[in-house]
Amino acid sequence: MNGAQLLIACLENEGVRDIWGYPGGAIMPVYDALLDSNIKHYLTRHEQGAGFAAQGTARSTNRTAVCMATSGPGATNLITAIGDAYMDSIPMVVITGQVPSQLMGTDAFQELDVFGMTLPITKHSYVVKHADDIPRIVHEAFQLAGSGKFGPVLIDFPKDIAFQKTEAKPLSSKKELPPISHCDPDALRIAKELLAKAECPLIYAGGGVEKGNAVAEFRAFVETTGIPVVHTLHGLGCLPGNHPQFLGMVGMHGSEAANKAVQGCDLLLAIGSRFDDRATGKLTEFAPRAKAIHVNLDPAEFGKLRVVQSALGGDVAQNLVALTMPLNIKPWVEQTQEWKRVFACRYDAPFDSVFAPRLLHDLSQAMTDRDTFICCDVGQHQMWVAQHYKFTHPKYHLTSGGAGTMGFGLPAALGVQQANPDARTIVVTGDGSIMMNIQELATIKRYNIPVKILLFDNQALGMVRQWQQLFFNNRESEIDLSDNPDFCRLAEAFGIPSMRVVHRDQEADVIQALKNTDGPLFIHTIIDRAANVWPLVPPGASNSEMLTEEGVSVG
Amino acid sequence: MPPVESSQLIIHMSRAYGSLNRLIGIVRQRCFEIESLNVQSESAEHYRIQMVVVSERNVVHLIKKISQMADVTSVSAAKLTRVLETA
Repeated sequence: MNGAQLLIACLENEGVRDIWGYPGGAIMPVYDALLDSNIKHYLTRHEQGAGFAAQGTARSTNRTAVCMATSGPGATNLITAIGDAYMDSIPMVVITGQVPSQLMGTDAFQELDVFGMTLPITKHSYVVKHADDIPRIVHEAFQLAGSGKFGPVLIDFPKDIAFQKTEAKPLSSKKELPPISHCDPDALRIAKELLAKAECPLIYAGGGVEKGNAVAEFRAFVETTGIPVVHTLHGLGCLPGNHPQFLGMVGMHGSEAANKAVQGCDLLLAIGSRFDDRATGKLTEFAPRAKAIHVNLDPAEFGKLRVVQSALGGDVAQNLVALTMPLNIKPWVEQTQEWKRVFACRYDAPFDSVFAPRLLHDLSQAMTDRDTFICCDVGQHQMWVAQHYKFTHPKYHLTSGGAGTMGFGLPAALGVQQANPDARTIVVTGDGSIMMNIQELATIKRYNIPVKILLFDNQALGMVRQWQQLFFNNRESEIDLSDNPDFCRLAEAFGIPSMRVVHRDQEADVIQALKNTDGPLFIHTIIDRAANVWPLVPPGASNSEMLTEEGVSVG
Repeated sequence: MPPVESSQLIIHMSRAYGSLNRLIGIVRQRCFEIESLNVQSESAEHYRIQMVVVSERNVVHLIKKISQMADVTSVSAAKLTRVLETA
C-alpha cells in the first residue's frame, strides 16, 4: 500500500462517505487511490465551491465533512471556506496536495505554504512527514474537528508521501475522547440564585445550543421557566420562529421587541452565544442593567467580552437541565409580549414589485410539509431570511455568520442536499452573491442535485448601497450591478429550468414552484432597488438606538 | 485604559511542524506583545517554552486559548510584577 491508498483507507475508516474536491498535480495520487474506494467524490467547478459544499454537509448533519484540492492555487482557493468554517465552528477536514517534500521551500511549481497561511484559521494542521504517520494524523484530525468547539483541520499531503510504501494500517481502536466537563456546582448554585431573584430575565441563545446537541433541553428549559427568548443569527430555530416566547433576532438587524427586551432585562442568560459585536452593538450598553449567566461549551468565551456572575462551562444540555425550574415573571413576560405586538413586522407593502420579507414569511408557512433547508448567501436577503423566515429548527438555517462570505449559499446547498436527499433545499441569494460561485450551477446539472435557487435581484450590492445611503451621505460607490447577465438564460445555459418573477401577484407562484418542483429550479425575482433592511442599529451604536423605516430612533 | 501587565508563560508543547508558529500566532492575534521568548528542546518530541508577554488584556483568556491547542501539553503563567515582588 502507498501513502495515498492508506490515506483513503483511513478516511473510509473514519466513516467518510463523500468528498467534495477538485484534482490537480500534487494531489493526483490520492485521486488515483480514490478510484478503488467506495467514497463518492463530487467534482465542483472551483475549489471554494468544494469547501462550502463540504460545509453544507457538516452544517446540516453535525458530521465532519471532507474537502480536497491540490497544492498552490488549489489550496488557496479553499482558504475562504476554511476561514468561514473556523469562524462558525464547522467540523471539516481539509486535505491539500503539496509538492514533494524535497521540493518544499524551493519555490517549486504550485508550491505555496498553505500550512502557514491557514495556521490562524484552523483548529489544528498537519504536514505529513512520513506515510506511517497517516493513520494517527487522520484519526487525530477527525477527533479535533468534531470534538469540543468544532472547527476545520488541515492535512497538507506532500506528493512523495503519497507514493511512499508503508505497512501501516488504519487504526483499529480509536482513542477515547476526553469527557466534556460537568457543571461547576458553585457556578450552578449562583446561577440558580440569580434566576430565582430575577424579575426580568431574558435568554440570549446562539448556535452553541444546536452544536451542543441541546435543542430539546433548551426548549424544555424555556417552556418550564417561561423566560422570553432572543436569538443570534445562528441561534434561529432553537425555539421555533412562531413560538410565543420568541421575540426575534437580537442585534444590528434584530427585531425591536428583541432589542428592547435586551436593554430592559435584569438577568441575561447567554446560552451557546459569544457576545458577538453584530449581536451586542455597543458592548458597554448591551443589557446595561443586567447580571449575566453564561452557558457555553468553550471556557475561553467566559469573561472575554462581558463580565458574568456565573459561568457554566461544559455540556450545554446538562447545564440547562440543572437550571430548569419554574419562575414567576408574569409582568415581565406581559411587557415583552406587548413589545412583540406593537413592533410586529408589517407585510402590506403597497408597491407592485415583489416584497422579499413577505415572500420569505409566506414561504416559511408553506414549507412545513417536510424538512426544508434554507442556505443563505450574504447581504440584505440574508437578513430578510433571518427576520422573516420562521425556522422550526436551527439545523434548517445555513448561513455564513462569522465570516459573512458572499458566495456561500449555492455550493453549501449542494452539500446539504446530498447529505439529506429526502429534504428540500432552497438557496436564498442576491445578484451580488450568486455571481461569486455561479459556476456551481454546473455541479447541480452534473449530479442532478434538486436544489432550488431563489434569487432576489435589485441590480445592486444592496447592503453596501443601504449603508452608503445611511452613513455615507447617499454617495453610491461601486455598487451598481445593472449590467447583470440575464439570469434565466444563464441558468438555462447550465441546463437548469428557470422562471422570472417581476410582480407581487406572482409571489404565490414562486412558493408553489419551490414546493412542488422535483428537480433543480432557478427563480429570478426582481425586487425594488431601493428596498432596505429594517430595523438597523448603526455600527458602533447601542441596540437602544435602532433606526426604523421611518428613520426614527426607538430607544 | 486598563493597566499594561507582564506575564511569564511556561509552556510544554509538541515539536511538531508548525507548532511554534501557531503558538506565536495565537499570542499575537490576541493582542499580546512578546517581550522575550526562550525555546528549549526538552526531548525529541517536546519543547519547553518560556515567554514573557505584555498586554492590557487579561492573560487568563490567552492561557485558555493556548491550553486548547492540540500541540500543548501544559501551560502555566505568573504575573511578572508579582514574581519580581517575591524576588
